[in-house]
Amino acid sequence: MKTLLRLVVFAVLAAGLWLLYRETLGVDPAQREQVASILNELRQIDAQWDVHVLRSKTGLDKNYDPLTRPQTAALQLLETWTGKLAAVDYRLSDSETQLKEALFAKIDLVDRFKAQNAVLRNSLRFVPLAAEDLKAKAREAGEATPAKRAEMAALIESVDQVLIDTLKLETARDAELNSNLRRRVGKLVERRGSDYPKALGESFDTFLNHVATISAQKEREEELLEQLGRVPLAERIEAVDRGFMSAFERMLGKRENYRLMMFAYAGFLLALMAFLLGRGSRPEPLAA
Amino acid sequence: MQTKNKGWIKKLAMVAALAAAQNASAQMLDEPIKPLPAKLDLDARKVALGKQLFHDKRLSKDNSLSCASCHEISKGGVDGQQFATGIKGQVGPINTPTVLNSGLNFRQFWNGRAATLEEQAAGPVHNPGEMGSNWQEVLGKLGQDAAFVAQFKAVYPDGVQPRHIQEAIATFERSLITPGRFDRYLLGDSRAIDEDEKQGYQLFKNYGCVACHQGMGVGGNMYQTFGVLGNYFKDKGKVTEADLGRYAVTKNEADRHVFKVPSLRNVELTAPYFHDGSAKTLDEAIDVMFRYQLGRSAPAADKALIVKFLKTLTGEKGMQ
Repeated sequence: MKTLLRLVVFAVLAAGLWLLYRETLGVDPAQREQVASILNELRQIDAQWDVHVLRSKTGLDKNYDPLTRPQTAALQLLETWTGKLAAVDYRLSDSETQLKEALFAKIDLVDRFKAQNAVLRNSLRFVPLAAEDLKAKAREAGEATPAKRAEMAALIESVDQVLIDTLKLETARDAELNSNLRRRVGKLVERRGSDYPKALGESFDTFLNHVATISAQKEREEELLEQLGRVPLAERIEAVDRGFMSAFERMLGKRENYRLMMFAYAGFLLALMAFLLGRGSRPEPLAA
Repeated sequence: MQTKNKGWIKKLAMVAALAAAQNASAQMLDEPIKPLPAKLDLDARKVALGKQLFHDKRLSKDNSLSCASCHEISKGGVDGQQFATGIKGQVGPINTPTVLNSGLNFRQFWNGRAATLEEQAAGPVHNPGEMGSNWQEVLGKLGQDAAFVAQFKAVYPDGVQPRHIQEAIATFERSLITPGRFDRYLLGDSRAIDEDEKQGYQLFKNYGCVACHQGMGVGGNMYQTFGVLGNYFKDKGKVTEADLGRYAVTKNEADRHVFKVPSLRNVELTAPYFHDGSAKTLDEAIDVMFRYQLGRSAPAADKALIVKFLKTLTGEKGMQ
């Protein structure tokens, strides 16, 4: 019975030591480096995205691979990331969710920007050719009668005005310019004669289709760039960084406390053992 | 003396190699289309296992179809049909996209509903209209094959698991890149394509096809509305669920009729074209693109030259 009691006491004391030891292992310093490295990569991806959006907008980037690569890299990072933050502090899972939301919002907007940019650049490139084609067809049609000549001369002048306003839109960020262009387009549509020869009519419609596309896509571009500027990805990265680092520091402090407690407890156990051993080896007093 | 000579030879060889490398990089063209990578960093064992799984009919409910049934590698990674055919001869709602160079796609499926090839690989297995199976059934069948399990464990020590099957198939699919003559041209070999093909490429750029079909995949890196400058679906008439495109995934009105821009690599082999397989030939497909995407017309001679250029995108390797 006495031996069993001793064993139980020994087991309880050893379990206490093991529990304290386990608490000192609760945090891996390498985890901080891993999360810091993931956050740095995300910062770089975010910056690259912004640069390549501008480069695509201005036509410096000739393809959309540089805008697509960061997206793939960001999604891969998210894969490695899952659970790392919550393991340090469950309260960080909210920050993690918000960061993911911002990232997905940016991915979505960049996808929309690529589609919009491709259409805009295409029409901007083609619209001068469409105008030339329309003017050539108008000149041909004007050869019919002097009245037609005057009508077509006026049409050519309007087409030139619309073309100039359209091309101005490429460089300007001006909502008023766009609404002026729409007014001019409206007038041009009113001018369209129902008796236009087929080729002239088709050329007219093609030109206006592209002008309308440019006007709409330019407006869309402004909206998208504004929305992209409002995505708080950088802020969310910083928030996660701050939250994680302070949670990590707290955990390190806690670990240090447990370490001290473990040493103190181990010291106590050693002292107890020495005491018990000392008692056990003391010679029995001689019987009287 | 001999050692000294050897030293000189080494130095000369290094200088020559450097000069050659510099020359090659100087000649590499700065174009909207980029050449495919010369080498891929993939685990050869996973590629081999993935290849085996890609051709394994046990992935389908009735053991009648494998991934390769619809994505025949030697035929451009497609089935040549307007719509995919599933188990029991079920005809699907959409055209089979090519598996070749699919590792370059920024998303998978026409509507981009899978972010990765791994995610994509699970789709057809579970789709009742395609392979009509599930992982439990697949694992049950594969688990009975002791030789296969042993082979699998050599690559994945924790055994046959769905995520490993997906990864192996995806790794195999990533290996399916098909460099061709146009890649050699982009890398500086000006004789890799002829004058007509060069003109065709110039027209491809001038007409604006390259606005969407660019990058390493010649597409596959963005979404675009089908019918930017003309209403394709109004003219087509009956609109199906598959015609909704990305809208089916996001339910966002702006995504109606938005699709992933397909890669044009091997386009010569992947007829019929578009998500609805409505264009039987390249000429038809180009006509539709001019009308609805570019909002312009072009002389037949220009279109013929563009077709010639598109044929230079057919891979010379990678289709075994």
